[in-house]
Amino acid sequence: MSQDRPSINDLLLTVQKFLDDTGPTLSGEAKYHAQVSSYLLGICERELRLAGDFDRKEVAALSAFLKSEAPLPEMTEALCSNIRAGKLDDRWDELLDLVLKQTIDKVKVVRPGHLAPMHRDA
Amino acid sequence: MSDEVDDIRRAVRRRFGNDAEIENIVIPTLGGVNRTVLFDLTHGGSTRRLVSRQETYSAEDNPFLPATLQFKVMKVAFDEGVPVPEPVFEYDEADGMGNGFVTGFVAGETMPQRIFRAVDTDARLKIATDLAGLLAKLHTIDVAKAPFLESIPDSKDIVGNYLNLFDSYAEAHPAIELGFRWLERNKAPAARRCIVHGDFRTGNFMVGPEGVRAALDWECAHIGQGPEDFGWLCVRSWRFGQVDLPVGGFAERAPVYAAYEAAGGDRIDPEIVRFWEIFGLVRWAIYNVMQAFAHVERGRRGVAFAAMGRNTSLVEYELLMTLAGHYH
Repeated sequence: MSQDRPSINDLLLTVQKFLDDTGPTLSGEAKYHAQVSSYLLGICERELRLAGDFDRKEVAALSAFLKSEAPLPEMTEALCSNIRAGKLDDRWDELLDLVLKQTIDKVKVVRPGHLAPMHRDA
Repeated sequence: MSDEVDDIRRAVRRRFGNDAEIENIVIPTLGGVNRTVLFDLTHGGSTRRLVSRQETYSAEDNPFLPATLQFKVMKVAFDEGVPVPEPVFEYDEADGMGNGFVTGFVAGETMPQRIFRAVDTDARLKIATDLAGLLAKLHTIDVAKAPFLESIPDSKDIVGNYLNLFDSYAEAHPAIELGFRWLERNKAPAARRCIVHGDFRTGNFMVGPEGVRAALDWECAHIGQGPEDFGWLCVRSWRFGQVDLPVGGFAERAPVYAAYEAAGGDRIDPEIVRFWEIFGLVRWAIYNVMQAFAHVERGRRGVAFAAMGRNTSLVEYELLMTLAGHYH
């Protein structure tokens, strides 16, 4: 679908700016909820921008780790059940590294400032 | 006179007589799932400030202690000299107000950032020492005084209970699985069983200029082992930015453990606290998963609950960084 300007990311940032400007004039719960709403729009904007690349990386990493090819949700389920069954105990460091990398990508979408300096983008 | 606290006035008069009056009513707006009302009770020529708390939301999968047991455990703690708001009375069926209770009001500050701003290094250490003393007192109470806590799931197998809760939310989380697997392979050795607060963290105790005044929020109390409360207190999220002061953002670990032992608590093995801290991170991640579940699947919707769902990954990151040895 071709769509006119502004882009979806621009729309989200525009509404976010409105919330950031208006929120401080509210009080109590509404003020707090305006802040949280702005935070949620920030997540949406980053997810739209980053998810495609992150998903491809995640599929490739899981596929290599599990030595199988399946849709992402199925591989994630397999990873979880293998962890619980103790089947990955002898690959603990490799496993920890894999899950940490996936989690870093989730945090890059949710709140990049939460990452330790060693995991922040330059 | 008729107003929005009519029910509380009736309940108070049933217990303190018809001359009892309630005044200076304050209803905090951010009460969450409870109705909280602050008021002055005047009768027989004296006045004291009280707090009424009622459950307004109860789901069958609510993992928290029923109000009646919260009241009972606070009573045990209070009678044994643990600083806690004085339990005054519990609502009963004749009140028609559901589950809830009234306690004494303790003035002071609970908000972490406000506490941090108000204190210097010495005052921080005093707060941490007070927390250790409070826990030592709580943990040395004879468990036979709280038999009503024995039957709750957290008292039997708290890790297993959280695994069941996690499974009930039916969402794949490799990081949480990894946390549970670590807990399974690094089980804490059995220790003396005692009453634990269960939600003992910065934000859940009242602080004044002289130190800690009261432990609040007893809805996670159960029978467990003392280091559980230290593990939860040290969870990185409860340091509120003061990440180099692991004990609630107030102090290093060693002086707090020493203060606990000096106050009569059992010797603390830091490795066992680490076990409970890892469990604490897993547990806090699961709470966030739970909020998203209630938002998406149970119709308890709202922007804050939606945000908590996404914030799960922030806790997972702290869990994995702790397991990897990068965070302490």
